[in-house]
Amino acid sequence: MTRYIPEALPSFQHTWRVVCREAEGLADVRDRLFADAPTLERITELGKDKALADRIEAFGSRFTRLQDQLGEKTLPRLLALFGASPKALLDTLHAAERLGVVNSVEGWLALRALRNRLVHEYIESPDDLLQGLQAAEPAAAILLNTVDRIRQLLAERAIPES
Amino acid sequence: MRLSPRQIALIKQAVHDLVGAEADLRVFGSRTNEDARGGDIDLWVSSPVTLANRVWLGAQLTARLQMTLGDQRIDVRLVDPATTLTAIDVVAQQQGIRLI
Repeated sequence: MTRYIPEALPSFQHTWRVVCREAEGLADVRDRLFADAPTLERITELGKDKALADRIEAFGSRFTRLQDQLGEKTLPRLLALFGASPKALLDTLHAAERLGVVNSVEGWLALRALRNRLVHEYIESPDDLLQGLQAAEPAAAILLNTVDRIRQLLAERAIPES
Repeated sequence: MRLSPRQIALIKQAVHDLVGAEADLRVFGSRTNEDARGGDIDLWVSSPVTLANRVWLGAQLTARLQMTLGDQRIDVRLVDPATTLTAIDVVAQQQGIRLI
């Protein structure tokens, strides 16, 4: 069992609390959005369906916030617990992949590219938005799985979550 | 065009691997302007066959390119026969430089 650096713990715990909240928020809106799966007809009439437009908006922004918090704060500070300090995002992701908390670096970048395709104000065709949303449900599961894997790692290494 | 032969080879390889050998691939935007500097890499890719999910495949292609070219701004517009073409597609078709 790898020891961790106690001085790095408070800063990690702070981002961990934020990420857990963000993950709950994303799971909640994901469930509400896909329980009543958006159809092409409804997306074509999105201007008249404010509730659906709001859920899509909330889903996109929570997805973005969770991925950014994980990539910019949680993963670097998790690595810092073990004495690593990668600077660039790609280096962070490769180290997190070796640690077993990120499944695939390329997959992570694909999620980042996908979320930019969920900002419906900029999407010109309802069909593109529908395809983006269809890919986004499994994509959200991948992000949430990353949070679960970190939680599992903390338990395995007896690192206090708070 | 401001892309190196190595960058062009990597872009063609990624499009070949993910979209297919028959895809039409064009660079458009600032990288086609010899007098500009830096800037996003704007790619327009057209598949002759309808894709299961062109939006997701476009995101995957972006990721593959960021892995091979380095983490930089790469905008991929991937269209197929089912896509409703927009003004940006017309610009890419008319002004884009085909990578062959």
